[in-house]
Amino acid sequence: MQSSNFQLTPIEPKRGWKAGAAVIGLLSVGAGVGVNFFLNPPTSTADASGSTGTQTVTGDTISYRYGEIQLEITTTGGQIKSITEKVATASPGYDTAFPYLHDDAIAAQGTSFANLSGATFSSEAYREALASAISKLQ
Amino acid sequence: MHTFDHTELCMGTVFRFAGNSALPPVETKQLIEQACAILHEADRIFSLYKPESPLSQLAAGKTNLAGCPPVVSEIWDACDQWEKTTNGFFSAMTPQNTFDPSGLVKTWAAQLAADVLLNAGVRDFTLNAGGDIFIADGVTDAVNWRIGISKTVSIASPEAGVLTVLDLKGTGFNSMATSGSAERGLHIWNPKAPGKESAQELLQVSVIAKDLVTADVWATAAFAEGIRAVSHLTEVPDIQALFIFADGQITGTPGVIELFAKPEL
Repeated sequence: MQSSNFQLTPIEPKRGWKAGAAVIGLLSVGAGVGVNFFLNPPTSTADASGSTGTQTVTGDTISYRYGEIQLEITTTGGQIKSITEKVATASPGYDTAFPYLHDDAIAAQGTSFANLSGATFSSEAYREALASAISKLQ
Repeated sequence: MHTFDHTELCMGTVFRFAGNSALPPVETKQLIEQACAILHEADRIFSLYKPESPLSQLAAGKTNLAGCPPVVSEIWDACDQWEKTTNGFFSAMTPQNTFDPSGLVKTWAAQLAADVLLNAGVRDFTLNAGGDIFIADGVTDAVNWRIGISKTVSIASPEAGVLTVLDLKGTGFNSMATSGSAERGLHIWNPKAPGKESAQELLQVSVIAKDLVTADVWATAAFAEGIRAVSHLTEVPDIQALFIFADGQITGTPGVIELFAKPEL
């Protein structure tokens, strides 16, 4: 059985890009609202004490491997109340970060099977494939 | 008990019925003939390659829905329903705004054809409808529960081969359909793109479901939707899917990993 032609590419850890993009996104608004991001990650009560009242600000659009992301944050009384994805052209598929399945796919390759599923075979392709197989008979 | 293996060319593709039957061979043969007659009748009505077909006449504006056989309305309604179910990513309306239910008709007819055998008590067979597979509940031989997934090149290509193998035995799934551009080029349009441009983010999508039509419709819809379909299909109950991206990456819905065939020792 042939091995796969596909290249293995390392998987980024789950939510890795999101955290990274969140960091960058927040940094980009950090100057405006005085977020000291590194000392106060947004999952805790982040310090946006430089701001007063309720503010909503939008970060720059950040490009990353599978698309773009832009975050909007709302602060009230110096605390981040919400973080919203304004732009996330990343497939939510990557968002959910399913593992790539090359190893499982390759491990299953050597197993015998009765039917082949593929993009709808045309009868012409089927005939050609059949003719090709027949021509290789010893 | 006797084995049967029948290949029928219809709808520009290949249908294969293969399995075991306890009926007299002549009766099995008659059942398969009836099943194939259903396929040819569907082709006669729905083919857009035959200018005289009711559907070609409809697309050309030479008749209306009321002037077509009742089954055309039935398929029209089914397409409508599937369009809603898939959030609009399956659509029978072409970029030219004509009705093209080809994405549904093949597996709809295949399921009716399979029912001919099932209703006569033949329950140990598989049906390969041009690359979309149905496995009847009574299939006994383990190998018949396993389905190879083609590489993302045409089966007529010298590089043709098997990407991987899934095993549906004991999973509750009986059907798998694959959509992609390997055999017929970019024939799937994205109903939601501004000009309904062809989808190009995915090379191939295989969907595993209980019934063939569900698998086929979701495979078509996912291919049109592109990479966002990975999370979309994860939210759909009772299906699993395997995706090949344009860069060759393979991923799937979380449950698909359970369906990979275990290598034989």
